[in-house]
Amino acid sequence: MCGTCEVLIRENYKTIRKASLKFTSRFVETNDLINTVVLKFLNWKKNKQEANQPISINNGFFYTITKNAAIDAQSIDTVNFEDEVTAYETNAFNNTEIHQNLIAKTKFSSPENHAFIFRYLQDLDEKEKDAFLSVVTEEPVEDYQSRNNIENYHQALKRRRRAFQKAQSRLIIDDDNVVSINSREGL
Amino acid sequence: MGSIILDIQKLNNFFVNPDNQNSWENQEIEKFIKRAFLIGKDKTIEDVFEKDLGLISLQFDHYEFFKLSKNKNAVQFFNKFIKEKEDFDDVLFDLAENNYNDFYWLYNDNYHPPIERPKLEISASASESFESRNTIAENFSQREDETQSDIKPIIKEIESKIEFVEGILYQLKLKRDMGQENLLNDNLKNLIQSHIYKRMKEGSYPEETSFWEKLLNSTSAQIEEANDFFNNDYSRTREFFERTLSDLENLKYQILNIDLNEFGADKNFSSNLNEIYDDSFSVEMSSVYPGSYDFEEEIPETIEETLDRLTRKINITINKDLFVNTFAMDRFFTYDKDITKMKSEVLPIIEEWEEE
Repeated sequence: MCGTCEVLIRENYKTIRKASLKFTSRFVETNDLINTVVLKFLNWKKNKQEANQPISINNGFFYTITKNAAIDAQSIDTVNFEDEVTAYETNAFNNTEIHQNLIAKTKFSSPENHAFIFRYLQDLDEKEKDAFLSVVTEEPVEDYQSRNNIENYHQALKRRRRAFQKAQSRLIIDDDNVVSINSREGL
Repeated sequence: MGSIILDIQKLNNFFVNPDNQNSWENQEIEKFIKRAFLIGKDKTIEDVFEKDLGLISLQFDHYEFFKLSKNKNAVQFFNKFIKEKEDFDDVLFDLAENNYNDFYWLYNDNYHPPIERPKLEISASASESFESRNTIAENFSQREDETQSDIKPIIKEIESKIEFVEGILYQLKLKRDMGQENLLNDNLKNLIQSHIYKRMKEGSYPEETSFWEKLLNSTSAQIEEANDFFNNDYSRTREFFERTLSDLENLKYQILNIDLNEFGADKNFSSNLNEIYDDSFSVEMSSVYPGSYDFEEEIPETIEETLDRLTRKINITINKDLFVNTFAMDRFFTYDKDITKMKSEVLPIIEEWEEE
């Protein structure tokens, strides 16, 4: 089981990080969400395997899990984190240590790194964060378009461009030496 | 209502105070500027600077106009304008984000600002060699494998050096006679000699005669040096440039004719690839044409076709005059620079993965 867990996490940890950044702002919050998402994924995978069902992950899969987990985390009545952990520990057999290791690796390694990314994200809403991260992590426009159910390429691109421009303003605030589009206005 | 004589000063004044509320003239200037900003997308240079002038009489050409992209007020006005023309901004962003290399090469190959590029006169023989170079370049562009696209920058660099050397050589040949004639000015020497003779006849002081004789000697020495240059140095210079030209052309020829089969590491890969390609091609062609077949060379894309291909997904048409629109091109380059910077900062953190 754990061989495939590692393969799947390694294939998707970047998406999990990006999706978690979309719904959180503080370092601890983001890493807690990553923790929950990976646990949920491992449970889901275990259940699928037990039911002998295929494990199919499309490019919106982790965004959906993360969104649901973020909603759960924000709503006191529906938070069931303990249950998630119990279910995970029950199902994990002897692989707990390996899985914990995968979770730890998926989390952001330091508050500084998290803060470094967040200086671009701080003025953006959820959709804008998603669009911005899509641009700077080289996600193809078509993938971004399909996982957000956007009608056409141009609309998807427009959304990315607007989010990018909003984040661009941080370049001027944080680094006076960088000439960006907005800073050109003041030349 | 009369006509407007529009010069750069008036444009500068407009950018400082683009208020058009109470001025018919400012309204017309604004319309003109906005049409010019759209060059490359909805407009061409011809549309804006020749056809749709209306009541405006222009005192500058499009190069003068686009030099205003260095003017902070003009850039501010453009930034405001493009916020209202999001489609144009979208296409510039898409080119920077998703088609930077293709678009940049196209721009690099086709945009030659007259002020930045030295103008070299080309002789008939020189243009012939340019044509043959173009043919090689066209052949080159038809090769589509990765190795070829990797060496494209090298070839381009060699070609620019060849062009430069050809220009110098041409100038050397063209100017030799004229230069020799003008530098070996025996007339000057004769004039000084006549002057000395005249002054001696008039009874000049020996000091004055001595002064002019020194000048005469110096002129004679200069003539000797010039003769020496044209007999020796000039020939060496010309020979040097001819040798350089030949070396560059040879270098280019060798790179363009690299045979991967000659390199051990790629031998198997290359031959396998060729076999696979040959086989599938033969099967394909024999099913269509059971007998013999003629292989028709693929015609290279025109600039317009390339631009259409690059903007097909976004479904917005642009034209090659965009290269001249420095306001838009600056925005494209800024997008690329900022995207690159942000990627370099964010991506390593998102991709970080600690190995066991």
